[in-house]
Amino acid sequence: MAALREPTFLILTALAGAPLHGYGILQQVGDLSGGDVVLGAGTLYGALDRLAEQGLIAVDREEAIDGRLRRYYRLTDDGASRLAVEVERLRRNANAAAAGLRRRAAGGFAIGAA
Amino acid sequence: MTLEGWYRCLMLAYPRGYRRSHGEELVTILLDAVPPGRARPTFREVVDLLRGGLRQRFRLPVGKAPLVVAVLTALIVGAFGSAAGAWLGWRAAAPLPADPAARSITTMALGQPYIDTFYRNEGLLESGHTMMTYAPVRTAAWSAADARARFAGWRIEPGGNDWFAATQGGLRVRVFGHDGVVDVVFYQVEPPWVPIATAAGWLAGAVSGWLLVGWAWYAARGSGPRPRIAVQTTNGTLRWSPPLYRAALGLLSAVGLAALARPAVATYDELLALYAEPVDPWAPKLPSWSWYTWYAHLTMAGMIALTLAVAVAAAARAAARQPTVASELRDTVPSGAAGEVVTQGMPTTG
Repeated sequence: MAALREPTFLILTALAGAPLHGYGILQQVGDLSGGDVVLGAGTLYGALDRLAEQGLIAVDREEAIDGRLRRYYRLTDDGASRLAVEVERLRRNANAAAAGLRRRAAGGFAIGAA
Repeated sequence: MTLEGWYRCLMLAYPRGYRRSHGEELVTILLDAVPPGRARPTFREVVDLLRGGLRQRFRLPVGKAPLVVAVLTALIVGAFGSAAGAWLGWRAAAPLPADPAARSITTMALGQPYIDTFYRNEGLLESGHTMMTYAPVRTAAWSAADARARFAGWRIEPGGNDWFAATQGGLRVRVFGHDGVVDVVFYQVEPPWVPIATAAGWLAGAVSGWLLVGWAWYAARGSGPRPRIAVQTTNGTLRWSPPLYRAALGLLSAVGLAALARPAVATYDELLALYAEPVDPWAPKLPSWSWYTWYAHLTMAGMIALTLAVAVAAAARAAARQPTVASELRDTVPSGAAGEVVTQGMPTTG
């Protein structure tokens, strides 16, 4: 299974906790990435459309407040398992990277001591 | 214009169906994100929305298969479009001369009166409009150098000892003397905008091909498994056929694309020879639509199959919009297979 792209990963992560409407997702994605990923509305909706087509998210409910339509999206069960797979993959990669760095640090110490 | 007005204006970048389903929502999120005091969309927002709209318009269903089919279709329909563009561009070429004018030119080429007719090759879709004659002359008395000198006022391509070419006002004449005969071939000079028309035709064809694949694929998918027919197998049980719209669409598209692939490949080859390789001044240029006339039967078959495929996709789309009582009844006919039909009848997309 191909790795999720970062915006996709962040959108699924944002929806993992609770259903959110579009602007809520944008804010969450901004917070989660520490401000690194700033999605435009057009980009977000392109991604939401793809994710809905793949069955990873679904429309939860619609609310109209002051004549403005807000549609809430939720993570589906398929979406949750896809995200879990991605979390596992990232954890594996992160562990491997950390182990590599530990070995490097240990090796560097040995050479430095010689 | 108010900020909301600007956003609604930018929403025009999106296809109509998408605007209807997601337009309000998108405008809401844009307005939600506005910091106080802003009156115009930022450059970033404009780019984001235009790009989003364009992506939505060119969108294909998720997966590798639609992408592969779309690329192939774009290439195949693009080649056809380039041929159509080239053909239109050539309509602007100066016509070949009528017999009296051609006779006086031939007389000039031969150095003796010519009163005969010409072989003409200028049907509507003929591959390259040319006309020619093979006139007997006394070879000893004829020389290319003398003949060249008689074409005063023409742009001369000197050629060699036994041939030359002369161009005037969109007409090119090639003169070649050999074995007691002088060949005089007339052909039209390619108008300067033919390459532009060819490129524009290719682009129009490729874009239409791509869009058609996305449209037809969604139409077929949206139509669900209906209608299908019950087929009696040899051991007497009833089984459902594959979904008819999808089966028909797949078959017709495959036949259409396969038929048009042959002339398309030849056309790309021709275009390379015409525009990417040094041109042989001897040969009149074959126009790039010539392969579609050469493979006329394949072209006709391909166009008919693709037209039918589009019609099937349109029917599938219409059927998906209005589920009729008849199609629901059809789904419940063979009671043994009802369970299968119920699960397959679920909409595949939201």
